[in-house]
Amino acid sequence: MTTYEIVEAWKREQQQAGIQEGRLEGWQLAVLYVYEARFGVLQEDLAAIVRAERDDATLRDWLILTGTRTADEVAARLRASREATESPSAPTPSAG
Amino acid sequence: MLRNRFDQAVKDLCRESLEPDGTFESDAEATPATQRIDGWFIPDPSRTPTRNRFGLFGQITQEACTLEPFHATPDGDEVGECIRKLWNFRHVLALRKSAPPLPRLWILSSGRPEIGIEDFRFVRPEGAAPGLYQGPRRLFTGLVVISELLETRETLLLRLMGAGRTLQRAIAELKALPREAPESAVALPVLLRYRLEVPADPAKRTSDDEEFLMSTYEIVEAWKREQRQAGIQEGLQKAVLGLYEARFGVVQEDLAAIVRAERDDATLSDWLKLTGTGTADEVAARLRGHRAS
Repeated sequence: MTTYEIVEAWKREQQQAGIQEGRLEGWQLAVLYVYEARFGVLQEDLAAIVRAERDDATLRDWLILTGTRTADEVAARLRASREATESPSAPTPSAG
Repeated sequence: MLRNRFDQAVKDLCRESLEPDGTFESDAEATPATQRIDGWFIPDPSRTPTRNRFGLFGQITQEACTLEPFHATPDGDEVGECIRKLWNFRHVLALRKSAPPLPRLWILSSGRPEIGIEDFRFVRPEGAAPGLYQGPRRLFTGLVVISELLETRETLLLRLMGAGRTLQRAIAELKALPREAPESAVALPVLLRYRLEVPADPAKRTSDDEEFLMSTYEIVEAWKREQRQAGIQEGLQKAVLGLYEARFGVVQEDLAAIVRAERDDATLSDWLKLTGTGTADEVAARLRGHRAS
């Protein structure tokens, strides 16, 4: 492979990863910005939940919630999400 | 034979810079006894020269030449070896039926090879750029001491073939240039390629590998930051459009186009806040006002 081909393949791979990372950060910022604009600064424990979220669709849901519902509803949804993540998962039956 | 990753990268840097103007051959056989020339360039007079864009490097490659890069400063024997290879190579070429132009040699040394300079009587010709030395006329050999070059754009490509702090400063200058600058177009892909070829397992890396990773770290990180920034903008754009739709229904196409074209984080976050707190009319007015301004 030529230098051009090697570098372009790497760039494509990095570009996808970088844009995906950045997009997640964009959604996270969006939730925080809209919350702040509507209700004031989000409590740190709840902001940490937003910053830790890695799923585009979940962040999008939270943004819509933040833009259309009350502060209490937003906080409740975020806390529920944290509890769901922290609760131990039920044991799964073994395959054999 | 090339000695390490840096020398391989420099060879490729020479190739990428010179190939548009003629033929460039690496590892050219100097004698049947398997001696190899690191790089051999023959300019093609029928092509419009482009290498003048590379300042001093373009100047020293005006005529057919061989290039021997040294990331580690060569000792007297290594300088002698290069000169002997050149003479053998010139002899082999002269025996060909239609001999190509016989090359002169440029030794590209990261540091000052004191013994080589003294033993082979290299001198700085009057008026020559600092760092540029010539051997006696019939030696057909020049020497570039890269660490002695003035830090100007004229010498940037050559300094990218240097080592240590010289290379680090050259890379910092390269980063500050626009992407379309000729030095960037040639050097960035080469540096990236050799960075990618450094073993991922630290246990398998040489000290040169580690130095290469450190020297090129900022280039890669700057590029990754650009990609991430593009992603953040895309996320914010989608957030504005998604929130608008959730609050007010389908976004009119002209408004959507304004949002998608916006690249400024601060503006996008303003629009986002307005979309979360204002009315549809206020959002539309702000976006259209932005387009008109």
